[in-house]
Amino acid sequence: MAEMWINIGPQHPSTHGLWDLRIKVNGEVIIDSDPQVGYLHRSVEKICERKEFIMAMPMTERLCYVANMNWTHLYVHGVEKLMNCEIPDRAKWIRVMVCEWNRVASHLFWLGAYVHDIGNLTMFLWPIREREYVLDLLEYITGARMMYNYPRIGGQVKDVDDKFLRRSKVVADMILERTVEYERMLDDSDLWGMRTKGVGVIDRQMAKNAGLTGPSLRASGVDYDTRKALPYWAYNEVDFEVPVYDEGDCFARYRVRLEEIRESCKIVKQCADRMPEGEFLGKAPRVAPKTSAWVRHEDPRGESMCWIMGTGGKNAYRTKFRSPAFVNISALPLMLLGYKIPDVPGIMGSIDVCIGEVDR
Amino acid sequence: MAPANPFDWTFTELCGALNDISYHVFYAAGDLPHNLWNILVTSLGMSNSALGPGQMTFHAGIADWLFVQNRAIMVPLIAASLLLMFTLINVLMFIWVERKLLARFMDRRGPMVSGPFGLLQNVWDGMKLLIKENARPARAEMFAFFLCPVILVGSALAAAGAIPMSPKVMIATIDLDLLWVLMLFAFAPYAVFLGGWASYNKFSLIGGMRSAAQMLAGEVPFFLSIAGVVLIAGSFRFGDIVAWQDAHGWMIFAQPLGAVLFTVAVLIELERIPFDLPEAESELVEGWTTEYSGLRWGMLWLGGYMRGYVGCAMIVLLFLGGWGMPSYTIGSVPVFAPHILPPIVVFFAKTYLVFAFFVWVRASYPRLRTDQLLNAGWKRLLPLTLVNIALAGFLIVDQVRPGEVAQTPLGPASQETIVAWSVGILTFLVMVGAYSARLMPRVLQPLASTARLFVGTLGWFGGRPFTVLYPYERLEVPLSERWLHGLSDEKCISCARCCRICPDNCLNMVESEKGQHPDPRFTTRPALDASHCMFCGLCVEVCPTGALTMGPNYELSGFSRDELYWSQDQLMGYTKHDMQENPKKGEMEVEGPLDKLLYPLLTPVLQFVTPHNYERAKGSHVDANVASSAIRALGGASSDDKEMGLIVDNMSPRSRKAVEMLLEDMRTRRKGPRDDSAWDLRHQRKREPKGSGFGETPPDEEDGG
Amino acid sequence: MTLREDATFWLFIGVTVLPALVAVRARDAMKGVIWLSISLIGVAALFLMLGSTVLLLFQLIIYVGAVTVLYVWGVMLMRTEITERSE
Repeated sequence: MAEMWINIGPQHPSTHGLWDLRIKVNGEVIIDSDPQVGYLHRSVEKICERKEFIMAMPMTERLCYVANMNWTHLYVHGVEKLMNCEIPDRAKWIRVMVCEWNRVASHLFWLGAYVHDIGNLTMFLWPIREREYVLDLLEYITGARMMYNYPRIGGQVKDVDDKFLRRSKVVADMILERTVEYERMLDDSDLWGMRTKGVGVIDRQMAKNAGLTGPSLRASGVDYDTRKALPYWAYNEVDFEVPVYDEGDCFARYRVRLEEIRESCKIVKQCADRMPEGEFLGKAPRVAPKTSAWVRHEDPRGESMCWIMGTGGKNAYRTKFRSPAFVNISALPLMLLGYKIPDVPGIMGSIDVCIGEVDR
Repeated sequence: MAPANPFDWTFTELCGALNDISYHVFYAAGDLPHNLWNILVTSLGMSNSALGPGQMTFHAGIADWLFVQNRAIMVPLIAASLLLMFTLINVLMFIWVERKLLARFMDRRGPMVSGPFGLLQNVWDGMKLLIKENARPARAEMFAFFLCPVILVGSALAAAGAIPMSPKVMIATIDLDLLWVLMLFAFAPYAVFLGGWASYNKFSLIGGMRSAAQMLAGEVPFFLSIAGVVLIAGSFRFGDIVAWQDAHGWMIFAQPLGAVLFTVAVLIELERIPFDLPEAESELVEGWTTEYSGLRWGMLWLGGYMRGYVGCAMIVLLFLGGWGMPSYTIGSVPVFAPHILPPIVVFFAKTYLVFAFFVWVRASYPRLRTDQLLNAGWKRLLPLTLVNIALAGFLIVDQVRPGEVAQTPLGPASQETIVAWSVGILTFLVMVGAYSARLMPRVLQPLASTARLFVGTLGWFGGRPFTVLYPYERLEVPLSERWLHGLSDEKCISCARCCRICPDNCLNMVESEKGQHPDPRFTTRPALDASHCMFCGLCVEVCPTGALTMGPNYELSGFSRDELYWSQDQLMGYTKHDMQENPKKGEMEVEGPLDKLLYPLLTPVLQFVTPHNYERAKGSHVDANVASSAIRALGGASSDDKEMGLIVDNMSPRSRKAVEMLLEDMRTRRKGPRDDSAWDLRHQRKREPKGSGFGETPPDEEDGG
Repeated sequence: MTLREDATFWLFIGVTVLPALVAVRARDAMKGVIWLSISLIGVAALFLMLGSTVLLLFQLIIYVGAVTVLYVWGVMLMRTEITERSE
């Protein structure tokens, strides 16, 4: 059959968001691809210019709605750095704890959706069920299941109490057990291996050149995690490993994320044990100076950055977010070349796109 | 003549009896107008127009012609209609088993609401498909588009007719039963391809080609894996094969490899997971069925599940002993007490168990890519089927003495012929085996991992599911839950900080007539536009007196936009204190037990009155119309009506109140400039004086809302 | 042969020959294949009239079920204007 362009999207059940992946196929083999994003652009950065810092924070929540704790804390961290504001110790540890919980929730959701795309219907619901426990925990302290609106400039809006810490440890233990079950279901399964091993390979050099970050980069053999390289808050005081695999295929990316779920659960347990006493919300100035600040975080999808420039008043002159998924999508054509059409949902899912943060 | 007890009748005798009953019913039904006319006429006294016994008897002639002279046509017609009804009911039950069982594997419940245990869910789904539009592409090839579901369902039904269910219910069996069923399965790739091509859609065409390729790759193992069964049992008839199994034990012990291969081939034919790539949603949308909608699409599913029924029934008949139960005894004690159950019940129990096994497979595995599937089909399954035939040949070889000639269904064969064929096939297979010997570890390890996946799925089966049956069961919400606001009238000091901080401009201060604050200066209260609110909770944080709180009421949907506008009067009474006393305040009450039972059954009939619309149904639509016309009259024919964009006709009392309030605003606005009405505030912001320290923004910022 | 047998025979002959003529003259190759499959069903019916159910079943399984699909693939894989209809 001849060469033709096929649109996967913008309305498609497995793109997990509103974007259009155009692939050029020769028969069944992909020879080129052209991802087109922007369908979900909501001018979040522009809105952040017009609102005060605290009012703009719910906008940043909606950037990546699955990992929204990480994005709000990124923004607040940027604002605090701009204002040169210190936060109390307890707030730092709380931030590490909830960001890691949100990483667990995001990876579990990714796992369910990814496995569903490959066809295993049951393994969709089990990670989602585990995620429900995490969401219940976060609902207990913040009052919402998904749009938490938890950090404030100088700390957190509400405190965590002992019940949350105790329950966190129980839920973390449960998730550690259940990841063993997922491994048993998926790792040795021949069918799973046929769909994911050797599929969507990107090698180390190409991954670094393309700007890939996060679990996709660590699955290609590069040991870079912003939490270890440039630690912030209490990350240099907790003890965790960073999983790195060498193969660079979809299976390696799946393994990296599964191990990250485990590591994040361990971090949560350490935070629950070592949570310092004290205030959870410090003093913050009312206005920000006319300088700029830049922070880098490790988002579940990669390295996210926030650059803010103040006006001297209560809002920002310019807020710029670097979305890791946006750059990961640009590496997608490299991963798709030479594979077949049925591999597309597998490869596309394995880099974990969240279109909210891609399009901003 | 038929035996006296109806339970001893065969299916043919049953149809004959139905034929006779129809004759008598027809006759009597024809008599009825005759008698009624006579009664009418005599009672009116016009006895001379009464009909005599021999007049107006054409109904007798018709009944006679239909049911007596053409008995040979009517009885098969009745048999076919019974078969159709029965197969349809079977298909519905199959789909129910699939949905419920799949749900239980996934730690959730299946259909729960329509009918007890959700049994009627598929009936309503079928009705839903009936009333949907049968859309078709404009340039589709109509004849082929129409023909595809016809071929699928027709072939499946004809195959279902050849499946005997018990010694007494053999609907239509011929000497070559098995070949008949195989022929009808062979029509499916053709029909699928026709459907894909006729849709005039690039993706349907690709999907159709893939689907046809997959089915064709499944046909050959399908035929060959039961060649062994035919060789051993010596006949193509289902009845003979079951009789052989009654005498010699289940065929699955004589042909284990054949049974496994046949099961896999049936899964490929039915396009079930792990082989359902052609219809997987995450691939080319719906594959070859994309352009089919409404009942045509329902027919494709129906055909699929009918073929599933035929496939499962074949597995049961060929390998699992059909309707017989093994009669093993330990000493003189029978191990199974099988002969209590009628054979037809045994047959259906086995068929449903086989289908439950298929559902278990569906829950456990991901799907294979088409090329991996074709690889597996042609390179792995096919050689194994040949091995199977050779093994079967060895099993029967000693039934034939040297020099004797055996009557196989395909003609006489001597032992020498059989041995020669078996040796030939084995030689071929040794060569194949030598090629695949290096893959031997890959044969055992996948078996282990496959088994682990399979058993792992079973771990969550049984026990209480994780899901809750909303709205009959609800989860407890924590105290900090942020949903609809509540306003405490005594505490509000009209500072408007909540309006200032809202990122979305959802709150606006409106004059309140019922303000209860002791200080008469504080008369305005916030009104909420819940259609824009994102429940971020910033307004609650900045409220200095704690008058504004957020409660757990998340059931906010309505039928018109104005229902989402909560005035201050409505927000009062929803404070945290009130919500703690009565957590379900403001929600529609869930009905009592009788309603819970009736509503699911009555839902398709009362389709305009849903449980969530209960309140609206209790009121009368007439009142709403009167009120809406009055409101229109009040509002005048000004362009403000259109500006508001309200749907005035179907309003609940709450929204009517909101509209009245707004119109009151508009009316007073017409009296003179008034810039603090709710809708004005929604779209303009009052500029704060500079230096007030409240909401200062840098000088070059424009504040225009 | 009785009238009924005669009429049936000529009906099946018609079902065999006429679609074959239409298939030969079809402009679209796919339609030609569809008419051909109808013609093959007619051949199977003739086998039944000659008394062999085995040949009927095998004709239907192999020709209509497998060979037709293979022809269709052949038509599809040769990408010429006659298959451009569905583009």
